Amino acid sequence: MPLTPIGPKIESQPLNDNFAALNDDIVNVPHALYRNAIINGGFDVWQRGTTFTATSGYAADRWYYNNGGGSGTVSRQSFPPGQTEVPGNPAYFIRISRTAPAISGNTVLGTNIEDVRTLAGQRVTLSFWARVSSGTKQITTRVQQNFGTGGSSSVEAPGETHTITTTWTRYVHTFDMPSIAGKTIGTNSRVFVRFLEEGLFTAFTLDIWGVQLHVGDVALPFQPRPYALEELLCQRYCQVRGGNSLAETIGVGYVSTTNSATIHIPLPTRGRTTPTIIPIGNIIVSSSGVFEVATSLTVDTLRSSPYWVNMTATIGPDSLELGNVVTLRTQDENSKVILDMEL
Amino acid sequence: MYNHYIRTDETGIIVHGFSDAFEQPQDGDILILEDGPRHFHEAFPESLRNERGQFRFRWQDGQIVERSQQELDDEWAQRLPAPPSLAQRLEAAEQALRALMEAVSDV
Repeated sequence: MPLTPIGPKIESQPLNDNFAALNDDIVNVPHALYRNAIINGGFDVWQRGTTFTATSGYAADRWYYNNGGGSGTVSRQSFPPGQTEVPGNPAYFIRISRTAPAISGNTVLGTNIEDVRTLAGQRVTLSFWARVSSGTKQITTRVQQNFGTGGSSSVEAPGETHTITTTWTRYVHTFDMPSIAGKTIGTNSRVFVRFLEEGLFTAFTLDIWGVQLHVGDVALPFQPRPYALEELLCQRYCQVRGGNSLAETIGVGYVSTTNSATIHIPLPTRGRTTPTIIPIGNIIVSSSGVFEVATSLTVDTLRSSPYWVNMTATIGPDSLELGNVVTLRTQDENSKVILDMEL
Repeated sequence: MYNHYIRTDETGIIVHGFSDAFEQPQDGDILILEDGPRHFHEAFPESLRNERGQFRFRWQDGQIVERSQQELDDEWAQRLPAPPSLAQRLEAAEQALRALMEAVSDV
């Protein structure tokens, strides 16, 4: 017996359109929380501090800056609660205040994504929100594939120049991330995402928030991650002890010579590599009534790992008693130790 | 990419190693690697100190050379004696007090 249609005929073209849209959703939905290849794109995590005046270095977690021979300040700024210019009620953004213009092209802001395989050979979209305090400012976004030590030469993906205005605006850069076929990948390979000042060096105040890089040729809404997760991701590359209160313990150990101690610092989050220690302010070696400022902190790389640091803390006088227990601690809220594991 | 440096004492013993990602070189520091990784230990994985805290390497004829165990042992033997411990100081004080009491009782 032949079948007879009981409803209206389904038009194939709308179905195809809907399927394309549905397919686009399916491609992106599983990656919603993890689709952003950039860590701390919302500038929520600031372990190292909140104001930076050095000529170059790391500011917000995972974010590097270089003032190109100029000077200025990089800082954390707060969004007013309830503002509607930028969606999602974010807490903070990053401000780059260049008071003396650069003298050469420079990385106004940049971040490394671990492993050059990331997004290789795919069409991707980089997006961010930005504004300047006055006038306009041209900023170029560029992405470099760096194949690491012992790897192939770096490859630049096509860049794009954006004219930033005084109104919070979302800027989008869609491009093809080059294939890595035929390349040699060395150690510490990475994808370097940069905001560059390439010419017409000026003083400026630039605010940036919501940096996102993902697969596809459409900028999807910025997807924040829970703070605890974002901080955990950051701690693979940097951990800080101290800076919060008086006499905060950094690590414990024992006296190894009369002017040095072996100190152990466990890393609750496994790091990318054995850290390099950066002491800020006075770090105190405390043992059985001896309180001395450490003159050097040296990581013992043979006995350290990404989850356990052994280091030697040296003091000036020969005043320690062999074998005694030692506490390494901060002196005040201005002292801390940065465990740097960045690329 | 970063440059890597070592610093030696007056006898050529290497007392510090670093990349310019973390500090800038001083006069006399020796450049050992250009365009290297961010961390010194990623360029030179050996620990500069041994388990006694002694420096293991010297800069000799333009190369990093490991110091011999004999040289390290000789240096260790010549280190300053450790100051007496609390227990040793207490024992010494007790002995001195006992000697004093015995001297007084003999009078």
